[in-house]
Formats: sequence, C-alpha cells, structure tokens
Amino acid sequence: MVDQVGIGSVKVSDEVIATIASVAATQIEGVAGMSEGIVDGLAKIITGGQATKGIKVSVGEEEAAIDISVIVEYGYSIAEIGRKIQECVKNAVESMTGLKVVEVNVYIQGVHLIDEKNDEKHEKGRKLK
Amino acid sequence: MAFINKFGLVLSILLLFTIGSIGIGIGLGLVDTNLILTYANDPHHKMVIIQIGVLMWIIGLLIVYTSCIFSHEEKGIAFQNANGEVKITRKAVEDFIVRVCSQEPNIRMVKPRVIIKKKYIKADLVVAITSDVPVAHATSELQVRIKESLEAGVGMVSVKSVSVRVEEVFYTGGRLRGVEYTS
Repeated sequence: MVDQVGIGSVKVSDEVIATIASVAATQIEGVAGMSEGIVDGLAKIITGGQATKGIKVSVGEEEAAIDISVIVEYGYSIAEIGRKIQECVKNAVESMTGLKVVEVNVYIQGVHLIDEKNDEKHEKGRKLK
Repeated sequence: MAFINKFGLVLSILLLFTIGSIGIGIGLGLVDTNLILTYANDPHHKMVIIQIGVLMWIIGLLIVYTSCIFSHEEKGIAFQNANGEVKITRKAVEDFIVRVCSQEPNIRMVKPRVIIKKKYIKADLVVAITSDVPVAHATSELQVRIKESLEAGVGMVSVKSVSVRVEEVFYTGGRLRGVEYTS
C-alpha cells in the first residue's frame, strides 16, 4: 500500500495485513483456528516459519482482497461464523490500515470439536467411541 | 466411477503414445507398413482390430459420462454476499457430520461422503452401531439428526437425502461384521 500525503509514502506489507486479518478472525467466537494448506506448509519450511497460515492477501494501491481459510468449532452456525469473519476482518483491516477491503473470501476447511484432543478414543475424527 | 475415469485416462494416454510412436516409427522407416497392412488384412486380425476399436469407444464414452457427472458436483457450499464469498468445503461438511455422530451414543464409527450440488446436498454415511437399540430405530434417528443439524449448523443449505449403511454392529463381548442395512 502506498499512502501519499506529500511528504513521503507509507507502505503496509502483505504480511501485516495478513496478521491483522488473522488476529481479527481468531478472536471470533466459534473460530478454532486458521487452516494451513499445503502451500502454506511449504512456504513455512522455505521461509523458516514466517508465513501467515491460511491467509492470502492481494493488495492494490488503495484496495485489498483477502482470502482466509479457517477451521470452526462444532456447535456454531458455520454460515453465521463466515459472515462474522468477513465483517470483523474487513473492519479491522480498514480501520488499521486505511485500505478499502473490497472482498473477504472465507473458506471453512474443517470442523473441530472443542474437547477433541482430550478424547483418546477419537481418532482422526472418524472412529467415535 | 472415479476409478473408471482415472483408468480410462491412463489408457487413453497410453493409446495416444502408442499411436504417436507408430506414426514416428512409420515416418522414420522403423516400422514396416506392409507388415501392418498384412496384419490388418487377415480376417481373424480384422475382428481383433474391430474389438479394440469398440473397446476404445466404450472407454471414451465412459470418460465423457463420468466427466459430465463430476462437472455437476460442487467442491463446497458457497454463499455470496456484499463482503465477498463464504465457502464451506466438502471436508468441513464431512467433519461436521462426524461431530454430529460423535454426540450419538449408539454410533461407534462413521465414514461420511457428501455430494454437493448447486441447490442441495446429499450425505451417504457408513456407520458402525451398538446393539443396544434396534438398527432401524438408530438409523432413522440418525438420518433426522444429521439432516436437521446440517440445515441448522451449516446454514442456507437444503439436505435432500441422508443415506445410512450399517457396516458393523457392536454387541457385548465382540462385534458382528458384514451386517448391512440401508435406509
């Protein structure tokens, strides 16, 4: 992003926008976490863990589009969480960077049960008891 | 069908390579065209060539048919609004079904497969249940539960059918394999 006010420019990197979006999304009730794809995993290996997982940012001069992949918690309305993520991410990025967010595309990649890790019988979400 | 599609694709590629190799061979003079003509003119060999041709047609038609089926299947449920798109992947919907089943005391294992179409979704489940309750009762309750949970939990989606196949029944002291019940 370039913000020209006559005395120079301000640039906000894609990673910063991704971090803002990630924090905004994970603060929503019902969001279990970000979903890490194969590309993110490879990027993390190559860059040494610097990649912001589950977020793809496309930034223009004054506008931005964000793709965000998340895992939601079981028991919440998935569509409702999706809409909340869109609103929160859009508001957070717009208020913090001044960029106009034209679209926030949310990809719900999985559903997570809150006490899943403590359930020893639950293997890979398939064998139940 | 996916297997046929992949098998057909591999076969088609091999066939193209073979035809290409024969063409190159003829062009370079490595393949004797008279030998091919002699082979093709033999009445017995003609039948073999016709059979291979028919087989190739059948495989080709199968590929076209399965491609048409899969082209209508969506990879996720998508909702468009003013802020962009919300897409719920098929895996998330299948995860959701597993979570719903985990709340059911009589369901011991579930393998869901979700088919997503533009206006509705269909769920096919393979389950293992306990012998505490009648199979028909457990499965019909499960069907209703899955349908209601999907429509409420996923939102803005119509569940056309929930098919359940019981693959195993667990009873006190062991388990029965191969019991099938489809509702």
